[in-house]
Amino acid sequence: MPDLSRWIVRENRIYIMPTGNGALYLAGIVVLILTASTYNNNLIFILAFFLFAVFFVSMLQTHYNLKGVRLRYNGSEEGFQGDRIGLNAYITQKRARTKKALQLRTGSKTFVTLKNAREDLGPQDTIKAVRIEVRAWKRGLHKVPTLIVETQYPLGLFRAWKVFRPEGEVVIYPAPQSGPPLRPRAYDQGEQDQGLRTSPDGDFGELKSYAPGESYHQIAWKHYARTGTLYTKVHWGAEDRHYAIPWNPPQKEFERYLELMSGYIKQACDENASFEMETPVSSIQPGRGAEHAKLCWRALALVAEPKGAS
Amino acid sequence: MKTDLRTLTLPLICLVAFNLLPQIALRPAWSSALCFVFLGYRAFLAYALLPIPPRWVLWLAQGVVGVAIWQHYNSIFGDEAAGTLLTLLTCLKTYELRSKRDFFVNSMLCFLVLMSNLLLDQSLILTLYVIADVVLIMSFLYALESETFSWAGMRGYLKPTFVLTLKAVPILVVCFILFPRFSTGFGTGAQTVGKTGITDELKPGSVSELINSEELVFRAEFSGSEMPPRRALYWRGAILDRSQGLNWTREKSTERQSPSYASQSAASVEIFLEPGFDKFLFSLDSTRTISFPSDFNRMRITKRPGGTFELISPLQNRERYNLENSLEGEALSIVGDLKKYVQVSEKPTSEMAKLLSQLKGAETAKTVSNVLGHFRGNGFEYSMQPPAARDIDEFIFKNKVGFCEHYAASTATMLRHLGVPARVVVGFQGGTPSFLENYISVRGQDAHAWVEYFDADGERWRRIDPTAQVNPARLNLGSQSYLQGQESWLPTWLMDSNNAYYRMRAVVDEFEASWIGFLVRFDLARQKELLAKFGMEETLFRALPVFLAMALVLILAVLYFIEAQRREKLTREERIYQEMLLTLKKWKIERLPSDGPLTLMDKVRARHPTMADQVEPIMEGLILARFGATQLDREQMDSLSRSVRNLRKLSVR
Repeated sequence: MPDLSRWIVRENRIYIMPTGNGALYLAGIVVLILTASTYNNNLIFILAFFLFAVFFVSMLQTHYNLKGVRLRYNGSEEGFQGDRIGLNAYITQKRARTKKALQLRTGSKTFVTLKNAREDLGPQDTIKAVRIEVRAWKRGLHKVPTLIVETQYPLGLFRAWKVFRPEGEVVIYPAPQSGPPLRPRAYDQGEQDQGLRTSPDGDFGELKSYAPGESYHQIAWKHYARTGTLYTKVHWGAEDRHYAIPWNPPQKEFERYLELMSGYIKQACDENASFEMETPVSSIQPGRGAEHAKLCWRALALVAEPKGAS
Repeated sequence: MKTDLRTLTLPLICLVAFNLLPQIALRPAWSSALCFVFLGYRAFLAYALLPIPPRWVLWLAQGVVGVAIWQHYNSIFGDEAAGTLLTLLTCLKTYELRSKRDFFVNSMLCFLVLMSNLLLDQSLILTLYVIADVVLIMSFLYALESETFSWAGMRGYLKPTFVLTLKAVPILVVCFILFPRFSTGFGTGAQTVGKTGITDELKPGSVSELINSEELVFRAEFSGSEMPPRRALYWRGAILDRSQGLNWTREKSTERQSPSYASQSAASVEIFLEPGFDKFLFSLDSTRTISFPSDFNRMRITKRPGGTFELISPLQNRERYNLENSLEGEALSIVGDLKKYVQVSEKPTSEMAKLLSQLKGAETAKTVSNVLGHFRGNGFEYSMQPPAARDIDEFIFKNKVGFCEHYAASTATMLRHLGVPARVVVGFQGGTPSFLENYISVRGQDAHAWVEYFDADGERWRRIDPTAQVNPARLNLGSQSYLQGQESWLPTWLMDSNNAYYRMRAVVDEFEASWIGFLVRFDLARQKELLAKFGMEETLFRALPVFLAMALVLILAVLYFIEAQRREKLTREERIYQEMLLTLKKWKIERLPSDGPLTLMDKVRARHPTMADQVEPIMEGLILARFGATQLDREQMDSLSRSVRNLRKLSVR
């Protein structure tokens, strides 16, 4: 079945309606006209008609303020459910015009807009980067929400808006939850075991060059302040940890279990331990660091909910 | 853009305060004082960044205000009471500014306060004030939309509001002409504030207290006839027929007679009566009947014995009516019950009786001229502040100083003692011709009292003015000249400036009269008349809303077209940059929306390496012009512009 709302509300069309303030304003005009008629007072008529004329002209200006404005989606961040996630876009216009107080928000219930961008375009600004922050309450691979560019310029009596439906997806990870502690599994005594271990629990050992993806917690910030180079602190004497995050979700609290897994990943990542994970659709080899964690989280986001789960 | 609603608090308080200014003159003093206390304290809180009082304090204040209104007006629904209440509540609303909506509601309340002012007064000065106020409120709404305010940026809010206002004017005009006038059917029951005016009672001091008032009572426009000389203009208000020496009153009349209707004659006088001056409808000796254009008031006219007119109750709004005049003094030819006009409350004292016997003539005309002659040359004086006279004898024999009410009252009483039917008329005499001399303004200071006696031979009443015997200038130049004469001890330059003041007042009055004339005249009948001129027939009148809608759509289209044609103003460096971009386009260098000058520079290097040396300094100059710490001076700009132009002339493979 074709999406009816898509058919009714077309992309890049300008829609305009009075705001709540606009309705109040109209009510004021009605009061003025009734009073003017009752007292046969032409000056009040003039005041009322002037207010109406302003209402009328401001409708035009609000509408025009959005004319020629387009939106280009420019990717989003990934994040946990309930967290702030940034959506990026460009606002563009072809002709040299001033567009004031353009606001961007999402038009979906999945993504709640926390901070809508408020931007002005000058005649020279053909393109401007905007970023809004949203919050999603459901994990998974979502379509990019409908983005709405709107404006209430100049007097806030009307709201004009345009709807954009960008192609693309946003990954929302399950929120990390703490649960029963997961016991680390010691590595097989292999070639790695040199007594050289890295763990925040151990004593400080030495510095090594920072590699992208390593935990921020391990960066030697003081050293960075002195030298301007990033180093990672290597700790001695603690156990090297390895976590194998098991897959055995209970039938009843499926989502809760995913959140628990997400928490384990976070814990492992914070401890800079290595971890591996398994889901019905994928199995992830041992690894460590933020990038590895992202891989796992993404896998969790994609897990389909079994039928009959609550 | 950083937004902060709190920056809007102080401007809003200032706006509300500005909105209140006309209130000072129109509302009770206590309410104005209270308003400014509320606003002042709120401004102090906003300025000192202190928290606003809790909600219950506000509720308490609202309750107190309601009780105070009730105490003052015995109601909270009358026009006056509701207006005052609205004003006070608008001030209190500044104590609950939490969201954007609160700010908006408060500025809407400002419009309603403005409306309540317009109900009380529609003078030119208030109209000008309304225009200023409306522009300020609109500017505030504009600032509110941007959610931040800075005093330095005032121009940025005012300018778009002016543009908005200009665009709104055609719509305003179309609405004003085409909006169908209708009646809501609500009466306007409340009483307006009484101003000082003439009353149906005359006693020493009752006219002279009016004489200092410059307040306009009515304007009279003479159409189809030349304006009579000022000395002949006696605007009759009320006839007083009960004599008590110096005090005159009139009998309560239950007689209610509607004036007869004649077709509108060519020679008529149009009177624009200000509200608030009791119920008298001023007319001339020659007035046969009066007519009201408004149905509502036509039903309320009463004709009194003696040919004066009044309304059943005082006028609420400014109204106009027509005097239908005839050449003969119609009003004076109504005889009435003559016995009532010779009654006196007490017998004359022996001293008075002696004087009266001396004044008695063979015939009525002689008697009258004797009585008037007595005031001439017997040491009688005209004064604005006459000594108090308890009775007629004290005035005639002792003080000999009086104002018009003394002379009129004593003359009429003396005539009655002598058996001549006489009565006192109160009203206005003369008036100030307007700057263009097309109408006359009658003000409080023109108040006058005179006498009418019955001439049995002519079978009609005749007007005499005893005051003229004492102070003839009063008639020729009006009371104003007399007032000026009194100030003759002032230095000449001040006298001149005084004259200049009267001249200026005449000019302002001229503007005001045409404005008021327009405002009061435009009613349903005029609307039909005007539309008929444009060829709209009566039958189409019901379709007015349709025409209105069509006109609005048309204006919308025109305005939209204008908006689309508008070119944005570019700064100099932006213009040069635009020109540079055109040049690059000519060189077939593709430009993405995100490409800045540096990226474009790279593209030039890649595509036309030979040109790079010339393009580079221009781009650097433009970057400096736009983002540099200091602005480029004119010469540098000129050289940039020149090099771009030179570049355009070059042909590139």
